[in-house]
Amino acid sequence: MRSVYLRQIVQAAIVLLNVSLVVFVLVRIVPGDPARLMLGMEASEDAVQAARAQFGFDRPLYVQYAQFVGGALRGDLGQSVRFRRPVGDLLRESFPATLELALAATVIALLLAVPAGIYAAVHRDGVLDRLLMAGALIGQAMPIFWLGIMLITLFSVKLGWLPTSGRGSLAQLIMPSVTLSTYVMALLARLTRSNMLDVLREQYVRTARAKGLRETVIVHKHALMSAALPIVTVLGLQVGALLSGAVVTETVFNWPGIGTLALRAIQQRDYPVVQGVVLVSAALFVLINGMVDLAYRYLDPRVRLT
Amino acid sequence: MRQSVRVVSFVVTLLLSAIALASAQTGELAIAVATDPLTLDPRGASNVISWSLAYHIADPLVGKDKDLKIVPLLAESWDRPDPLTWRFKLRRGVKFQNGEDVTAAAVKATLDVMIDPELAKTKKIQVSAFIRGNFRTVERVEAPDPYTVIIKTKAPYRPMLLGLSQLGIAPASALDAGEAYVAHPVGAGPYKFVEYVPGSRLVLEANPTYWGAKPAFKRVTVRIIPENATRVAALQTGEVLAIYNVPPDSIDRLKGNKDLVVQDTLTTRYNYLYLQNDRPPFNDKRVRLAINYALDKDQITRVIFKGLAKPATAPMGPATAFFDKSLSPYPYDVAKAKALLTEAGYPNGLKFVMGTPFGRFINDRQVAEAVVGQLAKAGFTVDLRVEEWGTSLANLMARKYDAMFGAYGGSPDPDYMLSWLFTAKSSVVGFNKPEVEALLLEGLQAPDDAAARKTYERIQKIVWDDVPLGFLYFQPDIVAYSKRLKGFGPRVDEYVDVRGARVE
Repeated sequence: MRSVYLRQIVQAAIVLLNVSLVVFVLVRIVPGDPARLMLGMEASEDAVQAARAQFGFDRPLYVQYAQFVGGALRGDLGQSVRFRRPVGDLLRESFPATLELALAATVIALLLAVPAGIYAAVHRDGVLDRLLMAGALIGQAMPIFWLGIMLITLFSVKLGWLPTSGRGSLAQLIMPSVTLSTYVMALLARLTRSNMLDVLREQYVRTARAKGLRETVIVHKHALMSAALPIVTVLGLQVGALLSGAVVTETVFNWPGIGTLALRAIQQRDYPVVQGVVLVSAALFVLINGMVDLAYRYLDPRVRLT
Repeated sequence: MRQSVRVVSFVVTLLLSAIALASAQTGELAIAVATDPLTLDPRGASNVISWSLAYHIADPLVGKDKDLKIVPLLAESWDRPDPLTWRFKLRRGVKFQNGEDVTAAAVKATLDVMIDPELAKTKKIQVSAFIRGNFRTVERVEAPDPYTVIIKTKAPYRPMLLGLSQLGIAPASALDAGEAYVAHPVGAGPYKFVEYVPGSRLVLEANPTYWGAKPAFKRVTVRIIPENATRVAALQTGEVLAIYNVPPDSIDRLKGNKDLVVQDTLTTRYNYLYLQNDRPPFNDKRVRLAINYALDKDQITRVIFKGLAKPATAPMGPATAFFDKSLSPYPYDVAKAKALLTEAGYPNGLKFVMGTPFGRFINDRQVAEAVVGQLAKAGFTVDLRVEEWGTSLANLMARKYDAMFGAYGGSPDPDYMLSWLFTAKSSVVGFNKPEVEALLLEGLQAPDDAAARKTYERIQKIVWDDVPLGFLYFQPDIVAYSKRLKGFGPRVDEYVDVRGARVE
């Protein structure tokens, strides 16, 4: 058992090292110069060079990379070019906002999608099943961006119920988290439905029915537990989708999370911030998937044995 | 059911409007802008949003009102004893927000960083190239007594006051504060810095010890909402009382709301195509002329800008000092453009590469696409490269493409922009005319504005006739705000400015 954990940790370290290299190279391959962007088009080449030297971007690439990785190991992600503040501080300020949003979106998705999926499976081919699945399909295909603007138009401008944007109150959390949850919600509803349909055909369900158990007990106790396994896995994998969805959602709703931070940093070629955001997001992704593995072990005794 | 929805809706609306009203009565103001400032350090501000927000925190020696007339701020008077000397008398008893006195030493420290690159480097201060350019002829700054500042220049320098109006004065201690000052800027302006949350908001509060008229609001929140639809919605719901960068396609909707005012003004900004004047095909003046005849300026201003933009009539923004009103735009004449192309040796048309940023200037991408369509009618085949600003800027500086869509704004004096574009050393369009450079120097060294006018009119005429650019249009600055907000409106220098605003 301990060797399993050890293997996971080593794998995680390798993944993160690769991520650090990829992001380091990628931000520098993209044309654009952080010093020029800060100083403007009228700045002389000398002034731009001087700024580059101050930021440390004139050093050989391997030195810069070694500094990045060395610093990251000590918990120091460097200094933002634009905000002239430690990247760690910027991340500490914006990560809670994104986590709050992603968590709220996940909860909404689970609360709505799983019951919907179950209902659809049990009442297969019924009218509501068709409607729910059509809705899920639309939800999965709908651009988050468009949905966000539509929600603002309806609930803020027309009805005047909710504030358009920003973060601070519970009311401000509603529209962004609903927007962000749609994709995951749609996916989960469809997944729950198909899993439930598979499970409901299993022999042990037939056995349960034969025993004369009530249908609700069968569905909720016997079938759902088995059907939940893939749902947990997919939910873990959706962390990536939630984080990338957060970039768009945060932009529409002016939500000060890492999506907003990353977008600004990329526009401004703020290398240390981009590197920091990507590295920390990747670490989060790895961590959550590790936790999913553990949850899986708990939910499925077969996995526990291997 | 429907009735209960209505009741809930009514109650919620009532509550929210009560909150909005309450905050207005306690002296709070919220406005929304489209972009983050690059910095709030007045010495490092290199674009309009940065220096106009810094302008609320740090007073410069002199200010400019909304018509660009110079007004006294930290300096109560000034004179120019000889062409190389500017002398300023400081207001007495003025304090910075951290309690330090506003003295000549602080002014000197702020200016020294601007004129001495080595000093800026050792003190780790990012200096704006744009603002530094205003002081490139300064030889030294003297502080003979605590309330007198003398600026000595190497050569006569006419636009000194406009240059100074863009530089907020930092306290003397800022010189050694390094990057801590950038994170928490301090000045002697009407509003104090409270917090800045990147991508979200800048919060300011009234400076109770401000030397001038008491600020009208206890607290000012500048929300940063890049998404056009969200920004407009925030105004419609009353979450903010004013928005900048109003998207042209929302103007009709906003004008339909009787509680709102939509106001626009032409500014110091103009939009054009950069053409590479020193290499084929645009080193041939006939080809550049063909471009200008092929551009349908009217169509762009009418359709894309709903008539709020105006076809360019000179190579600089209409609010710039010495703007020449006597010139007229190149008419839209496809036949003439074709004839010029044929004459230049391209009877079968001409292919070239054009770049454009998107999301940088109002409707930039739509304009570039319209331009491609218009040029096609005259026989140009344009390979358009649409890029985000970081990439686009790099390619502009590298002069990668034959042509590029762009704009210039923010400078109330014509010298800076003209010197940048039309001096061989810095020109990103390969412009090289010693005659123009001599005139630019003459304009810069002119003893006063009256003497400079003729010089700048000549420069505009020469540039207009030589067509080094594809002249397009003057872009408006559009703001929308609540009728309750007074003393507010768009400025010709595109400043975000609530210094004189109040709520009734």
